[in-house]
Amino acid sequence: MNSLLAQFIPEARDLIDRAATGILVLEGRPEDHAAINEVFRAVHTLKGTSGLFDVGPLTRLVHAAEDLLDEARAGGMALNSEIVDGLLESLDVVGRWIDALEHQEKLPDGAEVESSQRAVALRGWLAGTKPNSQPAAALAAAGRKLEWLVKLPEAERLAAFKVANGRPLTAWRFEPEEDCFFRGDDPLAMVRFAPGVLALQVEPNQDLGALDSLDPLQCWLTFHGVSDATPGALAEHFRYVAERVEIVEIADADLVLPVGSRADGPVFRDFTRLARLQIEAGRLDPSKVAALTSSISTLAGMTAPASLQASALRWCAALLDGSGLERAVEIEALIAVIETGNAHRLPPLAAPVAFATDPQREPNLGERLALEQIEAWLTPGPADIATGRFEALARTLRGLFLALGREAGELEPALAALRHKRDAEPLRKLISRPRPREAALTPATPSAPAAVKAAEPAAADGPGLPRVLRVDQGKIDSIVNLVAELIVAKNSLQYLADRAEREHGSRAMSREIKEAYSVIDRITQGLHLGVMSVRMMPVNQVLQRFPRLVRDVARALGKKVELVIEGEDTEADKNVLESLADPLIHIVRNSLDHGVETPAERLALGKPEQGTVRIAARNEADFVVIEVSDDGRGVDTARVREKAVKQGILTAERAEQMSEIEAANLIFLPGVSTKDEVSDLSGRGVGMDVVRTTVVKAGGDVTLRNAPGRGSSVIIRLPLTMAVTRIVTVDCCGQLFGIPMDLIAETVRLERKSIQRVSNAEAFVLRNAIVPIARLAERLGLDSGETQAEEEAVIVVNIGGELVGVVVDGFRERLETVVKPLSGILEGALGFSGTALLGDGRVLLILDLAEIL
Amino acid sequence: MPFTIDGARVRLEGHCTVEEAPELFQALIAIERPRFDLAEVAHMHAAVAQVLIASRGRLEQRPAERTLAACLAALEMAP
Repeated sequence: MNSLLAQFIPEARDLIDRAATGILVLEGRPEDHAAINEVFRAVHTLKGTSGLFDVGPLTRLVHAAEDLLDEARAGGMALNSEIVDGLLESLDVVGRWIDALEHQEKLPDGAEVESSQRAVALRGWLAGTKPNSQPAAALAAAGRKLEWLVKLPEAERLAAFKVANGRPLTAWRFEPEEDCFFRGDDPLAMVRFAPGVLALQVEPNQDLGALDSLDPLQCWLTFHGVSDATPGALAEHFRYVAERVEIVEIADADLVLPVGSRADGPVFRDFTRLARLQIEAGRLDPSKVAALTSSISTLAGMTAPASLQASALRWCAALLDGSGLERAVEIEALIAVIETGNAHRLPPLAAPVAFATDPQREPNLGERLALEQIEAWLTPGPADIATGRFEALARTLRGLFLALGREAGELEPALAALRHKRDAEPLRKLISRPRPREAALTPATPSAPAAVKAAEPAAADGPGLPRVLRVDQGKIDSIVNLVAELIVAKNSLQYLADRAEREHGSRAMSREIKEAYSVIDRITQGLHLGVMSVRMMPVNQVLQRFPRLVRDVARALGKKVELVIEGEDTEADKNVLESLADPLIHIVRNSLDHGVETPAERLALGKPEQGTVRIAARNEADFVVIEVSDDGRGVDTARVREKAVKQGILTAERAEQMSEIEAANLIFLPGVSTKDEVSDLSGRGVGMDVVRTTVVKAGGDVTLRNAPGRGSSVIIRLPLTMAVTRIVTVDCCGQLFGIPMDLIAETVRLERKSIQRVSNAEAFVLRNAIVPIARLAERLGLDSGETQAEEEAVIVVNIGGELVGVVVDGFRERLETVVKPLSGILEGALGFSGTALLGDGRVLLILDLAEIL
Repeated sequence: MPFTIDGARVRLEGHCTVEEAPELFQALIAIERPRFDLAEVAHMHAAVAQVLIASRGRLEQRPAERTLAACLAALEMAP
């Protein structure tokens, strides 16, 4: 793989994580400026870096997200749950693409489509916020957006309309900087090679005076275009001049602008009457649409091609041709133009009185026509056709409202006011009110903040950033392994010193070796600590996915849950953290699914509606402890006991005798699950027993604290690092075995008589507690012979929270060593967790006490 | 030289770069009603295009290339 791409992939993942984390913070605290800046920077950097590779769809999607965040950052919009969902899903998609890039070095098929769909959705939210958020000047600019469309030759608009075929198009306006020629820019080339150009228009952006008053090396042109490429693709094309370009998604109907001079004649009135009848007929029977088509072409043949009516007829034909009567409203509007010959005032906008209520909003063709019709009706006409005129007006308006998806309920009273009181104001207001579809049609690209954006990276990459070296984990792991072997090799010096003294009788030699050993020991320890700290990562690496998980799961369950994370800076070895990830997810899911109650239940119990799940991490000696607690209903110990008995894990008597806490901890046994029905969240066939197995395998343990009705907490303890294990060697029947130091609570020497027999088991009293005793030789099936020693060596180990005394023949030295898992034919051997090499070259078997006992 | 002047008739061809814009500009100031033949233009720099537009000349031959022609639609065709 290209080394640049190899660097990009982890960086991109990192940025995606940072962005997702920040977005979740923002959902809860939209005013958190630090968070929005962090998210924006992450997304901005991702967009910038991705530009180095051939991943256009990815860059465009991230760009859309960036624009949305930029708007949020400028205070223009709040990120509600829906938008947060959209952003997170988009980041997920980008994450998947990064995975694909890693494996195939290209984006998956369909990325282009998915990118544009998602980008449109993201930009939709952005557009939806525009009317309230943009400063007035920008809004006025948006209001101008369609003015120039009419300047495009009708043939080009017709062609573009056909290409659009009902889909939205993209209109853009590009005003190059005055001095752009000096920087080597050729705006015309940029415009020529813009994607999907359907129509182009160029105009001077100033009044051109006498030719000799101009400066030929200053750019004074403005370019307009209509394209069938997505706004994202155009934004990509114009990315170097983003601040000079406005990109707006338009509907194809925005192109329907009849132009020309008015022609007169009775033929038009006849046509409109016929056409309206034909539309009615066509609605009932689509096969009759052909009649309308032919009347249109007949009339077009009789009309001067440059006239307004001919233009309207051409648009009628284009609308009919594309989709039959689906667009009858627009066709009727055009027919009204033909009837009145009155649309010359439509484009460019003449700003009629009705717009005074909301001058920035630009009415579409239908609205403008409706207003025209009202004006026309208000002009006095012959009394005998007044009723007919009103009916025609009312029908047009009803159809218009229906097609625009606006509530028609208010239309009738407004029509009545017009008819009886000749008061057009209610109607005008109704028509000029923002329509629901508007969101999709308003401009999508903010132009003002672009300059701020360009200044951003310098700030982000400023001196505050620590200097970081990205190193492949494999390299670190191989160093860790070498250090671990060094630690083992170092042990052999100790053994050598013993031999020098015992076998060669040279005490001085022995001492010198021991001195050399202590020096090497010190250096090795330093090296070990150093290399381990390289692998140390803040727990946050694992925890940062939880806000998202909790949010999604809680929403799916209809619960309200706040997640509190504490001690995210606590550090632990990377491998340890990785082994922690899955159990934690399961525990948190359990808490959400079984622990926290629904809001209704919680209110009924007098608890706050919102539950709390707390994940707290801390260091305890050589362990990292992670506690997941909730304030839910806790574990129903009665049910757990019942279940355990039913499963045959316990006898009923034993279950009765158990303390509450012991009973609660039964949920870590296989087959004990408190909910009978399997939910699709936590009931994935993975029980808490799997959690325990995983944690124990990683050298840790897990316990549960339970307060019925008030919540429960699960506590995971894991060793900080897994590479080097401290073990105690014990002697049993002449063989040496290793026991991990982590398990050992203490070692005691017991007089034989203090061991008491309880039926056929043995136990002894340790500080007022009865500790059961197991003899290692028996458990391992070794022949111990009959020793009658006065004292027994007992190692008290803590297995899953219970103390057990293990009787051995004697304690030997402690050592730090690397435990290798059993492999080959030993792999299935029960009772041993691995092997280690001793200083004298012997192999030591490490006991898996949890299994043996 | 990619532009040739013959009376009021100005013929451009090939790639017209930004370097030619000032020279063309000076030439056009002296011509009362220029008429342009752009049939052989492959590309013209925006600086050249705006000089043509500002000169209020007429087109004798449109550029063959569609987008270029659209950009110069502001210029009327010579009768």
